Amino acid sequence: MTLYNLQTMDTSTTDKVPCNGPCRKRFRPAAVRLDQATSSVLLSSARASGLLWLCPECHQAFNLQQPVKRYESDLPPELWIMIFRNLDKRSTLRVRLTCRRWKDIVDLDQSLLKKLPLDFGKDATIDDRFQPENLFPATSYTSTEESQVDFRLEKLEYLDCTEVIPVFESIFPRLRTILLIRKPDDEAKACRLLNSVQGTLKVLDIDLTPFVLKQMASMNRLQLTTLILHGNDNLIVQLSRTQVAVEVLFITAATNEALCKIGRNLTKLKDLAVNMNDTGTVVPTFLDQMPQLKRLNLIGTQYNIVNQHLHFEGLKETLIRFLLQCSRVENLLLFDVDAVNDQLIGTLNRLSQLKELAVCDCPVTDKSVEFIVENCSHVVVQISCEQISKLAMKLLDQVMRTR
Amino acid sequence: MSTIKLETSDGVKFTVKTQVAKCSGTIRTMLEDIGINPQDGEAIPLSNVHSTILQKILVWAEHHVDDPEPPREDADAAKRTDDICSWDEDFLKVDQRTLFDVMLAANYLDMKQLIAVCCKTVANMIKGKTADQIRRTFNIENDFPPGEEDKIRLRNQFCEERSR
Repeated sequence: MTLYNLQTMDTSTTDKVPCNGPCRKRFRPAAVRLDQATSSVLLSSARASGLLWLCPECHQAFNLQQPVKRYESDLPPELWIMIFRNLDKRSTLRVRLTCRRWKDIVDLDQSLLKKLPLDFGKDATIDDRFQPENLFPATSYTSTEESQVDFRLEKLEYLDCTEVIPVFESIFPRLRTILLIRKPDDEAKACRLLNSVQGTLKVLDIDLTPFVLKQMASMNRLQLTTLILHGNDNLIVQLSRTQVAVEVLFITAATNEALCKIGRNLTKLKDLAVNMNDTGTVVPTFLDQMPQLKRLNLIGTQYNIVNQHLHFEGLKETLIRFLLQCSRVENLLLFDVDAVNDQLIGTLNRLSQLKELAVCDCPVTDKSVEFIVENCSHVVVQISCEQISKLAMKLLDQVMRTR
Repeated sequence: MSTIKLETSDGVKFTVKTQVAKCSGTIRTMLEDIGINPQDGEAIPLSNVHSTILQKILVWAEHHVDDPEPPREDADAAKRTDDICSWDEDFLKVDQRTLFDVMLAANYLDMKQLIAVCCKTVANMIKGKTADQIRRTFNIENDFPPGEEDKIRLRNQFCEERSR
């Protein structure tokens, strides 16, 4: 914006022009000696053309209020913003450090702030020194939900942390996702954080203990849709009674009996990942209780806890019979399950709804690949198993590219 | 060839090819949309531009008068600053006061390409410098209260980890 010089113009017009100053009154250009051409510009596009017109009163006031320039050379904020947009993150941070005015310019411009995501990297320390007023005013968080982040810390929606600090409650009031890595002495702090964001929280990864369960049960507004739980299946069953909106559930260990109860409580369950207890010769029946389930992820020995993984040891027939019940399942993921072999893969073409199959670290061979290529034309398959040759992988790759 | 007259803040009148003058969006608007008739012989007053700066800007406009319209840029996209053409680089080898005056005038005259190249030039003066070096370059006073700068530096650390 620039102030148009009043003295150099003469005028004959009777049109009134709006004052750009604080008074906002329309005034006759004649009163300040303005020619026809300039008043036309002012009437049509004063702001767009960068002209600023002030009535005599405002003009005088403006001159009086003109702030004294602190530096010999200076540019208006809009030009500094254009300059700073050419900088990378590191230089932008340096600019914030130089003086108050430049810091404010960066902090008030959305496009500059987007360069400055907050990083709770492994070498950074977050502790109680970081009160809300001390924190970076703008941030995204590097995560899959980045696009939803509004670059304001208080609007942060996704928190993935190893330790809960009491100050989080006041910094992050609108969290949707909390991923906590287990810390026994954090329980009370973690629960206070959950309590403070219960209105917005949808996704939670937590170590479920009797204390946490009791606390969560008392949070009336807490309605989660995704739960990733570490803890015994009895506690999970109890939690499923209060968190009935859950659609996605990842749990480390559960018996068929517990899963049946969970299925009855969670009527909207679509996605289940489970590290199931050994069922012996009994075919698990929990799928009957989960009519909405579209995605099943069976996890095997990755936790190396004896008797807690899904090994169906020597009972491959049981697993085959179980999988054949999964006729509604569209996505099947098998991770590290000993009983998944070529014979089992050979039955998968009977799952009519199956659209995606992932097999990782299971004892399957090239035979399975050949079977899939020939018989499962409608399924997108990913296989990552030791015994499979590079040639077979290449074949699979080629076939999958056409799907 | 049609010409128009421009009058600077210090009362100097310039006679300029209309095509060159139209590098300025402000003058273009005056001529095309408002219908100012330059044949009247009246000079368009540019009361925010000093003659020394206008002269410099007219040299730039003369050189770039046939440049094609630049593509619209995404404001958020990462920008290059190493693509300044050598003519512009030489043109902008001036003291900082003049560079800023050229920018202010280009802003007033709405000359987007000139503003862009000036911005890149100033950005290059910032790049790779520490906060202290930047202050010295632009004669900026550190007006943070004691301790404040350390606080900001601390906060910046969260951001800087991954940029290394």
